[in-house]
Amino acid sequence: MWHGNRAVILLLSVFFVLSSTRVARTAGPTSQPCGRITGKIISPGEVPLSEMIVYLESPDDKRTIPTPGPAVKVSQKEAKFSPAIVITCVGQTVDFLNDEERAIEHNVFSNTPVKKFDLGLYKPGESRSVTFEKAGAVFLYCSIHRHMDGVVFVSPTPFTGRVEKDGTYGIDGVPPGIWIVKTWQRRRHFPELSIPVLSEADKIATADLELRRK
Amino acid sequence: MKHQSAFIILICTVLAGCESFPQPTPGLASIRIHVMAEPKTGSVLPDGSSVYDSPGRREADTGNFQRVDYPSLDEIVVWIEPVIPSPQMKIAAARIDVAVKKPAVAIARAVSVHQPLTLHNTGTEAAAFYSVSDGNEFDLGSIPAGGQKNYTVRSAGLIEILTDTAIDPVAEVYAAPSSPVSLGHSGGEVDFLNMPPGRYKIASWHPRLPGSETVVTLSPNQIAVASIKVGVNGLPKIGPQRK
Repeated sequence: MWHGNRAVILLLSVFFVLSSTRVARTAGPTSQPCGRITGKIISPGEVPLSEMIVYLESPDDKRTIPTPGPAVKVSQKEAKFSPAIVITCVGQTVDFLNDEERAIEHNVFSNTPVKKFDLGLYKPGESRSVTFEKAGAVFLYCSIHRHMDGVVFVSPTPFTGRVEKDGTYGIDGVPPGIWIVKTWQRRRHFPELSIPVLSEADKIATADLELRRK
Repeated sequence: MKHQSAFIILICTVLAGCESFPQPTPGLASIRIHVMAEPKTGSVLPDGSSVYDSPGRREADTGNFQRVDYPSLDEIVVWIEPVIPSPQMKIAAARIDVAVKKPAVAIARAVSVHQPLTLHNTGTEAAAFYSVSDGNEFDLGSIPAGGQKNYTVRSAGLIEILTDTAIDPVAEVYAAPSSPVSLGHSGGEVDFLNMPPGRYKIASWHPRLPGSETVVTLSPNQIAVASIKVGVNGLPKIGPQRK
């Protein structure tokens, strides 16, 4: 079990050793043999685990990260964002569709430093798009409806996973090399965690993370 | 926290039509700040109704469709801070009532950095209270029913007070970077009395809507009036916008 400074120290040690032995550090094309990272989030208290996201970050700034996938669609229906938690990665676009059956206008805005925007007021059947260039959580609101909120989590890489209610998670298609597994909680109860993990082609690596108050 | 834009401010040497406003102590100044939540530009439809609060719509729009109540929006934090930082005076502790079975429904208090918070457990059982909010991480350990413990605010921003047995925070406090600070509502006023003369930044914050900031100069013996807004109109626009 790793977390905090111990994880960083280990990561740096392992990273420098593996760098010197020329282990692959570049994410290749999708046809490249990849690994899978799985694990479990362990928490001591009441935590909405299904609102958690696990994602990978590269310790190597020069590593080539695969291009993001197609645009993600977020519906606004019954004055709710659906899905309420959206996972994207840097460079990816989200299409916000007003999908109301009645003649109800919506607005989407965010005041989050990662991405501040205002999509204006628009009618059912209309859609507006936003491309997210920086990693982080972007909190969404509607300036008309007071209970309407959601979040776009922008991961630095496309390698992400939702945490199940029992705390398990899995991330597929991970290129070989050293990665840092990180957590993000929508309703934050504990400090976020990060641990290094080595992905190997056609193998499953395990990384359990234990949430702690300190 | 960053704010969106500055707004027009009106400074008066005499606060006309407000006789109840107390004169400042000689050599000092006071300021009354009108607080407003501004609806989005373009919210008035061609038929003259508003997408926000036109009569007839509001009654039908309950539940998920309940609208933001701009005319009387609450939870607006307003503070004033010297443009040139000056030593902070000692600030009295702010009492925050917390209980395990009572989730926060609104911002409980507006406080400032360096201000002590006294967490008072109003529940019927002992509970541990803590925070993982950025810059204000703390763990006060168990507080017995009726007991209290202190924490001194270290950083500006929203502080969510948590307990192990509840998913949602039991209290939410906003910490401004300096004092004085006050919790206001749209259509209301916030008064800051007996301020040393000088240049000040007035700023606002709201849990959902972007705040704003503006600069005023207070002269000795002056009673000033200013206004501050929260609203989305200062955000960067993407796509067509209705005027």
